[in-house]
Amino acid sequence: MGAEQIETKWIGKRIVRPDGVDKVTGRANFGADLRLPGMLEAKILRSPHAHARIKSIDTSKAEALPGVLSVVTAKDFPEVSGMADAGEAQVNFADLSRNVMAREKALYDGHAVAAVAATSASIATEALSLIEVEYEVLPHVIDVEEAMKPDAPLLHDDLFTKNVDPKPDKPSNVAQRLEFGAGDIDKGFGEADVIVERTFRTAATHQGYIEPHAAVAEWTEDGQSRIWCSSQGQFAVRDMTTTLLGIDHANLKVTPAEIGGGFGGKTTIYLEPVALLLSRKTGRPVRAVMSREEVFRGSGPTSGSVVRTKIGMRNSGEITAAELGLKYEAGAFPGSPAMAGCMTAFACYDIENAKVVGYDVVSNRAKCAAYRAPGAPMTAFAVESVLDELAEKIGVDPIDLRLKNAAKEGTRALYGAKFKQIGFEETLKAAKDHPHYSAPLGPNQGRAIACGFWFNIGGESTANVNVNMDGTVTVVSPNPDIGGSRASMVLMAAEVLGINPDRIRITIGDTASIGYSGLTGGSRVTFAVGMAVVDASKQVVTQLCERAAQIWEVDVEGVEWRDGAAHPASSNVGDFDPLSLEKIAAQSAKLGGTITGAAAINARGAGPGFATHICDVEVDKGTGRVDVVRYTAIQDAGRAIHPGYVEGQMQGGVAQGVGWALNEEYIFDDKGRLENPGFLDYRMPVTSDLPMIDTQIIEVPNPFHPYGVRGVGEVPIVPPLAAVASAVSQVVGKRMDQLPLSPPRVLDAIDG
Amino acid sequence: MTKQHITTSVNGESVEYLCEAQQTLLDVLRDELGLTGTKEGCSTGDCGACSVIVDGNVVCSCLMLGAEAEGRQIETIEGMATADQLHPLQKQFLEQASLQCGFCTPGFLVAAKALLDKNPDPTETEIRFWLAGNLCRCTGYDKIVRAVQDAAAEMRGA
Amino acid sequence: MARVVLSSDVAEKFTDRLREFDLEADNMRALMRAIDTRYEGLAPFLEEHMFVVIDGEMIQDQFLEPLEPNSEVCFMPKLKGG
Repeated sequence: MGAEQIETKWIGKRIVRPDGVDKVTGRANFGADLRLPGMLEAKILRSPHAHARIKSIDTSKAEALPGVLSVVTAKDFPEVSGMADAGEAQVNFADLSRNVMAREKALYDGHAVAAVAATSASIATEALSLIEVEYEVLPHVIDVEEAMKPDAPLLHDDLFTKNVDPKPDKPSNVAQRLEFGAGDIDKGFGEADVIVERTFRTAATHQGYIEPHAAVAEWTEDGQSRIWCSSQGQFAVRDMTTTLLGIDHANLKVTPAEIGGGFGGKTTIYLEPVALLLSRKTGRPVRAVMSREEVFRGSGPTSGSVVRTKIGMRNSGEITAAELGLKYEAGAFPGSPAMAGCMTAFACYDIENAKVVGYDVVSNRAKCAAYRAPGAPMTAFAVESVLDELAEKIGVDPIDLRLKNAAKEGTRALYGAKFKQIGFEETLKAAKDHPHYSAPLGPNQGRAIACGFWFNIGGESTANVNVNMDGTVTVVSPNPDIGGSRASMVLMAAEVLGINPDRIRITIGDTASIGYSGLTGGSRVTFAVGMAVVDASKQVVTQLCERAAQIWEVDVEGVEWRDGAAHPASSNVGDFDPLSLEKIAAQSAKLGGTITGAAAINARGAGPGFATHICDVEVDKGTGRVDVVRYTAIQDAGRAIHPGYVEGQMQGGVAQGVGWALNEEYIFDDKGRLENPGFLDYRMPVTSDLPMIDTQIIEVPNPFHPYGVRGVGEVPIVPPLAAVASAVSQVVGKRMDQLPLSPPRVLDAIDG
Repeated sequence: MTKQHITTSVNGESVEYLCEAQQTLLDVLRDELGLTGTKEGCSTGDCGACSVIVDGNVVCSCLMLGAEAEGRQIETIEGMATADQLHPLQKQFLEQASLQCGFCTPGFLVAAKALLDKNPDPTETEIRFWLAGNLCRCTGYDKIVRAVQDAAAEMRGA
Repeated sequence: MARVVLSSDVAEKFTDRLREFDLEADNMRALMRAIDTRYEGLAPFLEEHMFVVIDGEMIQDQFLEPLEPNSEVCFMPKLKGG
């Protein structure tokens, strides 16, 4: 084993988050809360058609309405091209530009086609009805398998399937084929005593953040513009918006508002360039806020999927071969999480012979966006369900079956990485020992377990740590705090500096105040930005020791930092009283100036995350209603910096996964229009739908992080789909292979 | 558009404003009175982020017109803490990490306060059903329910 | 010698399905040059679309990364996280 658990004073303490009071008193400013003098309100006109050529747009009547200052369409946007790394994802700017504002065609119901800025929201809304768009309605396709058919309506004439041989000469809705594997699956299946093969389907689900997208933009006469918005990364918003509008990075300052949930859905842009363009045309600040209906119709859900998997096993429980084929809906432009789905599918297990094939498919739906462990829950649903079935078939406990095949240190994952220290087996053993696993079940109740994996990422990260004259400390973080990360940053700084966390305050810097950092996503902030905070704090400690050495007139080697003060490293150095951070800070001006640390790193070594979940359901056999009656989530967090927020990530991921399993789905009418763009009909779990969600944090330290942190945010949404569906399968006596498990679907299974 | 003149009480203070006929109480609170602690999540009464207390009852302020506030007593999140003291619910939400992004939090706190004003000792089930009109996508509700239970106990002096 | 490991779709495209091969290099920059000498166009493709796992560790700033004599360098597709 590698890193040991380090003794710490502050890490692991459940402190009150530094931004807490603002958030319980209503003071915290979210995306839609800013109001500037002279500010205009923007509204977006959206396509009522799933697929239509835009023949003309006449904005004259709208522009003539008193109170309307400007109308923009795609004509006002420059043509852009090229790909770029924006944060962790690759962005195709021509597609992004066309998603922000439809150009030649409207590709989905809800696709933006024009925008109005007016002196009030009601005038802007009225103006939308005066914009005349002439559409040529085209045949549409919604379903992923329909879209793959050779005669399906084509979304893009210039889209040719990548990675197929020979190179296709006809365009297709299949953007890309992916394949990788290891060993020899034919040989592997030949060695199997039992083989199970099934096809699973999941519906498109939305991230469901409660705060709709919102942005305020202000263009100034010298071209220095500003945006205030809620996002998962002010730098990503800046870089994408400037590229779409052809302006310099330095000429756009993006100030991060508090963000009301994102889950991946706020890693891209929708409103920001539109609001900025309207501001440029009007010379006034412009606010754009989506309605909930617009969020559902126009912003990214995750892919609906069809996943076929086949797993072969010896009677002893050893997996001999595994195969998986997936088809993911990308929405109107290429870029589903098909690759991550392929890569994560078998990552929990050590499998010699395996093959995965994936298809990224466009159809007339809103372009999908990242959603918590993008792509992984769907393949885990398939793989974990089949393992559950195999365990039943060979009569082995499902946890023992997984332990027999579990990835461990040294296992090479199918996608290439060789795991270092990981905690998957520990989560399985903890599940087996958990009282939940052996608790009796009531009538019509079923229990299942399921496991999950997510890579977690590192990446570019910055942090500034500034010591104030009175010995307090201010940290500047570059990443929006979406779930309590300010608290974990402060705890890590406190640990390094050896001072009480309540002496440390933290702010989130705008794009002009701190160096570039990647998105708040990929479960990376506590890990990667945390490393930057630790690095910057260590720089501060080095300077504090240097100042103490100056004061004592000794060599800096003779000074050591502990418990928030400089101490002589040994009695040979001299007999000095400890110099606290306060005392040194008070003299900083006399000793060379402000004490400050600034770190810019490209964090590596994000430790993979694994989880095992136990789920009990109760099925009402009369109505088909499923209730989750008990749930336990067990996950390796490496090291929980603030256990409360780690538990919160686990519980929140479970709730989203339960919603995905039981209720949530996009429903379209025969014209391809979304029929349930609201919380009443797109049914997310509410308080009365769920039980308490028990958590158990496993801590197998990540050897690459100074305190052992692994990302925790994404893994918890991976197992619930299979855990819930397998538990329901136990009760109804039939394998549930299609989500959501709505009452009619469950009743069908019961009635056979 | 002709605006209406409304006189009402918000967090114990007498307030006057002009509003358009179609403006909701939520619009008025946020845009006319600058009380942006009350949030808009859906504008259809499904998410509870805009919860306020009107004459003692929890109301989705997106479903009530600004003009209907005439002569009422309205309580919003901004009135929950006193100058130097958080409400026990606010304290418990902080201590138990009951919020992640914090966007739904004002609505939950207002709705939970209305519950505890009526029922000082609710069961877990009563809490869950009372708060079923408030959506949270971050927490899975576990820590919210626990915070309400503990705040209730604290307020009872238990 | 460093061992280069490619995913099958990349191998299909560039290396006549050869998924693993050895090259002489003591850092990533030298390795990328050696890769491109052997398979023209592969190195820029890898730089644009892949990130690197060296001895089981995900590396993002791979340019100056030193390689051990028996290092295994695995290229995997760039990812998106939520």
